[in-house]
Amino acid sequence: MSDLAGQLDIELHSTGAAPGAVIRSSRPLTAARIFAGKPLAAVSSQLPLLFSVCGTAQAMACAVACEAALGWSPAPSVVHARGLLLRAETIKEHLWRLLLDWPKALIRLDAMPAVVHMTTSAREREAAMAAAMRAFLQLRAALTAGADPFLPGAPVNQPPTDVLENASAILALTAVEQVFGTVPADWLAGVTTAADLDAWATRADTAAAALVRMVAEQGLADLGRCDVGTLPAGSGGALAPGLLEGLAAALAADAFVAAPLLDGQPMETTPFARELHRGGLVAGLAAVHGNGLLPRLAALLVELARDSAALAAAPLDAPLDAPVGAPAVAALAPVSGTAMVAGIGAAPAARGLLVHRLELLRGAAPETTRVLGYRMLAPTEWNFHPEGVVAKGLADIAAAGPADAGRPDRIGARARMLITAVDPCVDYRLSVS
Amino acid sequence: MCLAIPARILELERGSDEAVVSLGGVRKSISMALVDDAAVGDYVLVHVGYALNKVSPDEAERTLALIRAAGELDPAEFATDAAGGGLQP
Repeated sequence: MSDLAGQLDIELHSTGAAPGAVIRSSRPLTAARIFAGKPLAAVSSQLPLLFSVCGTAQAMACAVACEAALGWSPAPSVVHARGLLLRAETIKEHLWRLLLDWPKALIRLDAMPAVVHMTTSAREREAAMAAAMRAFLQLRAALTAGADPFLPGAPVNQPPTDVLENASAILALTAVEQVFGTVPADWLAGVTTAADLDAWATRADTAAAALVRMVAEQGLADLGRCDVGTLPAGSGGALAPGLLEGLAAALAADAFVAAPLLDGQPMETTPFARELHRGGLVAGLAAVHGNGLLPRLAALLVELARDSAALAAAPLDAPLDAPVGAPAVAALAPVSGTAMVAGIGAAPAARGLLVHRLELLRGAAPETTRVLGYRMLAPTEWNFHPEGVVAKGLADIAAAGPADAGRPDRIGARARMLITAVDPCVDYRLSVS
Repeated sequence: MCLAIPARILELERGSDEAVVSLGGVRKSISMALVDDAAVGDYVLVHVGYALNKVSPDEAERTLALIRAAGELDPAEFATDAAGGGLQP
């Protein structure tokens, strides 16, 4: 049954005339069909159960797609609660990458001296991650107590402020102690160039700073660099105008959901892609290292710092009705003469853009509105497309094989580092030949 | 999509963070490093080899029912036949 979560099978061919990578996926891509025919209220509550790893982003994409289709508006306090929880989920996921996944992947490389130099043990980092997980769950319980803020058109959300503040403080403290060594807002303001990042990594005594040092010292800053582009963005890191409407039609095809292309080209959607469009530190690093490992690591740090700073400030300083960011939505043309409506919504999940498209039979409330059709497009299908950013980056690692002649384990370790950096979200099996 | 599967704890290994769980009837070792208050018989959500958090038996069953339904709807996508009873904890 663990197979139900699906996995990626990745083959790396480093020998022969044509080195390259083959990626196959057994991820369940149309599981959302089980929601067809159900009342919207039931779907809204079941969705996070089924897709619990990024349940907040899933619930967000569902809610905004439905609200776009139905013309419903959630209360400002609900929008605020959704934004807080989405930020907390991104913090939790980025901490996982930085405290558990990246160190493990770097240990597989010949970076052992630097790993030993890390100031915290794997057990200590797991303990910190466990505390962050508990804080996220407390925050979620507080924000969903009473009324679910992700119910489309939800009324007012009034979470207990003390729980909110305690949980936010634990998440922020984990970010300070394990990652930044300082207040995230100060890190964000003080680390805006490659030189700033290098100086911080040299002086900071945290697990994340050690990662930056290791990537630089081991010559891995460009690892995986390739020419696959990122999903287009508009101003301020928002989605490009018209992108969602374009995706809405394409989403009807199973083949597109399994292996999406934009204008015939594979695209990347990751924290790196988001930060590249926002400019600043990551864009500066990308000018030198492309979409290599160091800009990817920096993107995790910048997003973690921004979300940690926002979460720390929001419950204390902002009134609860102040919205924190807004996801992208579009209402699609209704079928004339019927009560059928459709909408598409996108949420910035920790690993990239998550898109939901729903067809609904309109009712007066979520309980009387029925879901007719449901399609989802997850970032993994963009990023692990057979010709996508990971496949091309792996092909380059395979092509560089002769430099590691006789060391397929080292080629495999480099491959695992790149896969970890883009993050498939599911188990994967890697074979190197 | 990124599914986390409910699993029942069969054994907790003393002195380590490891546990053996029943995942669709299959015994599997997972890390309990992120969950500190689970006992044998509890349900946890499992993702990429880690227990993420405890869930109630009721939530576990509701989640398993959804996963079963997805498997029945599109068995080609689910290599393990969820409808064959393999999901029963």
